[in-house]
Amino acid sequence: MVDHVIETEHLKMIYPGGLEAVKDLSIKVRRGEVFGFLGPNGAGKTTALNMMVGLLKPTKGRTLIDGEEVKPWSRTVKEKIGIVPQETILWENLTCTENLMLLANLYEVPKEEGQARTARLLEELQLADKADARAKALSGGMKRRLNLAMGLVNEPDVILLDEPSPGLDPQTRRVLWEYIADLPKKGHTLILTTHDMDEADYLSDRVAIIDNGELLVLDEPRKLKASVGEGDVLELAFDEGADLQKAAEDFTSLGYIISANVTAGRVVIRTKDAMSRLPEVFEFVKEHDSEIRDVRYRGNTLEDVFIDLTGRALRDGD
Amino acid sequence: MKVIVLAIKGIKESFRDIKNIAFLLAFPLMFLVLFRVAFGFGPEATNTYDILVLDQDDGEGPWDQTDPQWLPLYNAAMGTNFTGPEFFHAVILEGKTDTAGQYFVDEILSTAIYEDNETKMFNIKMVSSRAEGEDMVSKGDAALLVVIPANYSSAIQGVVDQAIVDEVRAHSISVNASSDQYAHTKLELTGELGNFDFSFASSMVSGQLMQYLAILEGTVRYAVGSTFPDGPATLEGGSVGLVFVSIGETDEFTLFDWQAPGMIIFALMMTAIYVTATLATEVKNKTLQRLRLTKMTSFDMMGGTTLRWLFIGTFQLIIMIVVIWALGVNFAGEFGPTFGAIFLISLVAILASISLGLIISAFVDDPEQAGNIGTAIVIPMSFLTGAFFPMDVPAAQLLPWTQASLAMKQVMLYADWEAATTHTMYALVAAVIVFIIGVIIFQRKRLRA
Repeated sequence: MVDHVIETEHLKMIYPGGLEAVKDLSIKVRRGEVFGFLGPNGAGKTTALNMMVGLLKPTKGRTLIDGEEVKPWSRTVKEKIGIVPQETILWENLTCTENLMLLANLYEVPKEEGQARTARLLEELQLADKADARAKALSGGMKRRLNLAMGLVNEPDVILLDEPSPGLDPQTRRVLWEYIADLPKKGHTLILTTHDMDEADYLSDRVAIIDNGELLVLDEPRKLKASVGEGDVLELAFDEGADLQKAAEDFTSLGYIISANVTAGRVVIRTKDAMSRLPEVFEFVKEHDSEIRDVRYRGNTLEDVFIDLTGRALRDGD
Repeated sequence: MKVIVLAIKGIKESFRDIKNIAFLLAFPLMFLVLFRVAFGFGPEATNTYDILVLDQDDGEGPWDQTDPQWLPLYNAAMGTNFTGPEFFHAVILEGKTDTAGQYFVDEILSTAIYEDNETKMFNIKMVSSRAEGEDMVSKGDAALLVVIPANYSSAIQGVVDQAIVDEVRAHSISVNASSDQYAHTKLELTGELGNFDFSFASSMVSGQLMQYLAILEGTVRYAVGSTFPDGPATLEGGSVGLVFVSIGETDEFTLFDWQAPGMIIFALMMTAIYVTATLATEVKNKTLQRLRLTKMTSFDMMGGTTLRWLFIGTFQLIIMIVVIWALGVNFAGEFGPTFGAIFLISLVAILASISLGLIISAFVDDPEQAGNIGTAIVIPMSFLTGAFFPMDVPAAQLLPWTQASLAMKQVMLYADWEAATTHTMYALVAAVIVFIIGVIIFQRKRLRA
């Protein structure tokens, strides 16, 4: 039997003014998984997440953590949930150790245990040599790692990771990803929200996609990508002034094209063995008095899943 | 104890923010020193006013033309043989000056002193024209210009004549006033009407004039009355006199000494702005949100904030007390009890200021707003509390700073421990009420889910 750490039942949020941010969200998060939560800005993602972890009272519905219905900001929530916010929220004039010990004390972690956790987290996140440096003296990447450590110091069952790695250099990003990927092995359940498809794909065991306050799909990334269809993807950029919508429609008339649509200023076509089809694609475009400026070739991504579901790219919503 | 943890965290943050803490600690110091310089350093410098006199008195009066009707009676009784002008110069002006105006300047204004410490009230400089005097006053070289009119001597003769006639009539002897030609005149006191120095100096000049006239009338009546068998009908020197006496031990006090209690309270009120700014920073940086996610309670947060600022306020207070001592501020009581009381009253004022900071910070979202709105509230409120000068606003009596300010004055100026204790208790009760209001508002606006 699957053990669920978080269950939401028919969550609904209507803000004053009538905006229905979340319509009817029922989700179960398994213990020990990395649960990816995707959606464009304004999709209701943050509202849904805050209700899921007991930081926001829903207009309707309820959230169960470990089978227990929680009230917002209750002690249960504070004990079981850790949050790693998108912004680095640190006390800039305190040292790394002081920042972590402050939270450990406020979470009522025994002093010696708090010191041990602080030292271990700083070591694991490669900040040990900066233990006595003030937060304001850290680089952006170091601050983000300390920000992560702040969400872990109380060793919560569920960790909410909100956009953990934007703006990081590839090396720091990789360190962070590997660390995050290891957290379920230590008994943590992760809820990850991100715009970065690679990040979601790499880290998530399951992914939920939300748009306009509704859950569109929830499954493993591999299955979601497979559900989009077979074949590879070609992204074609045309010269300015080209009628992209018409081009996409023209492509669908070709027998070997599985699908074609316009996303983020490009015509995205799916076809089997796309590389060998490239000359035919170029010829087809030339016959229609157009010119291709740039071509990208890739496999299916979670972005394609979103496009397939909504007809829009995730970044269109930004 | 999470309260202590949060207080220590706050204190560390404050003392590591060098610019802020330097300003925080230096502000009262600068403030007190600046006011000390502005108000001067010694009693002579503060209490003796520079005034200008334009004496236009021509020294003439009706007695130059006609002897007063009662003069023969006076000469007979006193064995003298004065003519009107001789009586005026010998008796009224005591043979010292030629005109009543000159007498008023040389013998009244120039010799006026405070009753207790014999400090001169005025430094007098004569000017030759109204324009010259007004120019000097407008440049701040003097508190005011006294213009003695041309007919001043005539008016003084009228005062004397009327006094003698009154005394003679008091002995049932019919006598007429000597002349209806006595002038009715007015001394002009020219200056900036809203200026503190003008207010003080003008009240003292008019006081001297009123006193002189009262004494003149009384003295003349007494002298004349003494010649009658039934004795004078009035008291020597008049029935009502005027002296300037210091309350308690305040004879050595300077204007700054009077202002110092209010200054201390004002400096401590500024704590409200710093409290607001630090809490607004927690809101802006979202660290308050992070704290809310922990097991910290509202009590921990409020308690930690209060302890933090009480500690910093105490630090600030110690510096302030050292500065007060170094500046040589006078106070009525003994050193130990006085500074002990200043310390206690200040702690109450700091608690009230922290509470005000909590209230303001519930409504501001960033430190910039905190600075602007905090200043806009604290500065007018400091006036309301009478920190600078007494304000007749009954509702302001309910404010803890008003009561703290009154308590501070009782301690520093009068060493009246009973009154100080009463005001301190009122201040403490009011501070606790403001604190509870602050906690409730901050909790509802910032700490509630």
